[in-house]
Amino acid sequence: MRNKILLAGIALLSLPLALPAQAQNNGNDKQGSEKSKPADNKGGPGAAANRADKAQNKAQNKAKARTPDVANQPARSGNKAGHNNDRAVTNSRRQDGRIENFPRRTIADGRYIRPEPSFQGCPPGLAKKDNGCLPPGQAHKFGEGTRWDRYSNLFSRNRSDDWRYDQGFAYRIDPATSLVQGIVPLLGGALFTGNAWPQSFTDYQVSPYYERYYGSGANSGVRYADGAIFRVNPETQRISSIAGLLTGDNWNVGSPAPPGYEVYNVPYSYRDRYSDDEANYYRYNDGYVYQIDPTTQLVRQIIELAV
Amino acid sequence: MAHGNKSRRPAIQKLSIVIALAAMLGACQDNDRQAADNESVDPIANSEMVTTAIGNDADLSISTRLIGAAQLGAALDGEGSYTVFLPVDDAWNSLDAAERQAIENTENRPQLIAVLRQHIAPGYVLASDLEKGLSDEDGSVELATMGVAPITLYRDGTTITIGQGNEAPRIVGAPIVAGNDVVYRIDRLIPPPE
Repeated sequence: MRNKILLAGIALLSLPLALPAQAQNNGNDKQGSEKSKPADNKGGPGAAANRADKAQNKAQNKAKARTPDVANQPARSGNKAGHNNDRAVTNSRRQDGRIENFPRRTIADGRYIRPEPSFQGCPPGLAKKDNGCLPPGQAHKFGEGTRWDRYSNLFSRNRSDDWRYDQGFAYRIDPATSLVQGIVPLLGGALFTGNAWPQSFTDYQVSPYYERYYGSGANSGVRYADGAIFRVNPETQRISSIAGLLTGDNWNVGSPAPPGYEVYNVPYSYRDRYSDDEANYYRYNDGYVYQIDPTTQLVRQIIELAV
Repeated sequence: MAHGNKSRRPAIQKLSIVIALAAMLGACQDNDRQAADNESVDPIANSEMVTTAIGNDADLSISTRLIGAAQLGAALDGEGSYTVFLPVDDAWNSLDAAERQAIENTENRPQLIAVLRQHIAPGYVLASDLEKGLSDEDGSVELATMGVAPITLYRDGTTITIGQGNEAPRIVGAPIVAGNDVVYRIDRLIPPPE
């Protein structure tokens, strides 16, 4: 048990390692439904197949049990006072960049994955060198004591990579050159209240909706990194609080809901408006409510909540 | 004397009533806890911050402290909605000293937060929602988490476990419902993903 917990911590920390690269893919991840893909289960021969079978069986059972022809029914119009500002957003609006631009994840083999991180610049203290960053004193600065082997084993899916941790950042070291190939600021490390926002990661802006939802509106200093929303003081550029945690799960109109949303989970104050019935299911994630067709299990609408 | 006895009798009666009520209340609480395991009783939502609510729970003092150390309180109390599975104090105390020290060491804060994230699911899942989901999905449901892998909850007789096997954490008692969040007490830490 002891080792399991320690391993869990190390393992879980690997999640953010892929974020910078995914930031580069933001546009692709916010494509319309014709380009969006459901969360795939590639790479998991046995377990993934079993999950797929189970999901298929469940979907078939649900389809049998519920009203068959509801795919084209419009969203119910709610009438709860104070929630009239809720609004549906479409994938086309996503293409307009109106929706958050943080990285999206998918699930494969029971694990959330993101694309491999790529080099995005050298943080303070590391010099640009050829195709990577050179830590002061070369890579041997990262001793065995700070070596996080399980980063590479569980996350990068590239056993030749070698992730190390130092001073709140995770570094991917090329074993052949000892150069840093990837750098990720970690929640709780570099990304923590009172710390300066890492300037190398200024592409993690959030959508106007998230600025309203998690902040006080436009230019209120809301940022995203490492699966979390931060409030950053616009004047000092220091992190003032961790405002929210995000799954980063990928939802698109016309695509299946991602795995992990079998249970109704709409927040209390929206339940009288968005409750499951034969015509629609509703699920909450990352500040949105998603309307799902009970028969096809496809996402019908993405609804911004009133703020 | 007679007067004295007379005057004490109501006090004794009151004391007896108080004791009886306390016993009944205790029995009710036990029944509620049992019922929570069996019938998913949803507590009434209250408007206090979830960090305040868990801070007042005698079984969650270590989890509350660690959430504070991780500075995740603002996130849990904020606009987002979460279902949190918090280990009770005995669960943290069952870790060996080195493991506890590693988790609580400030330098390992990213590791602590990573562990906590695996215990946090998106949205507001009441006990009744969970029961319905387990019923609809043949006894097991998968919940996304803020961590590196989803968790799977199973109905095992009258209990609900996270994962399977003897080491699987079990939900203990009725959830705490506060703010935008629902908090379930669990008797062990959620183990690392396989």
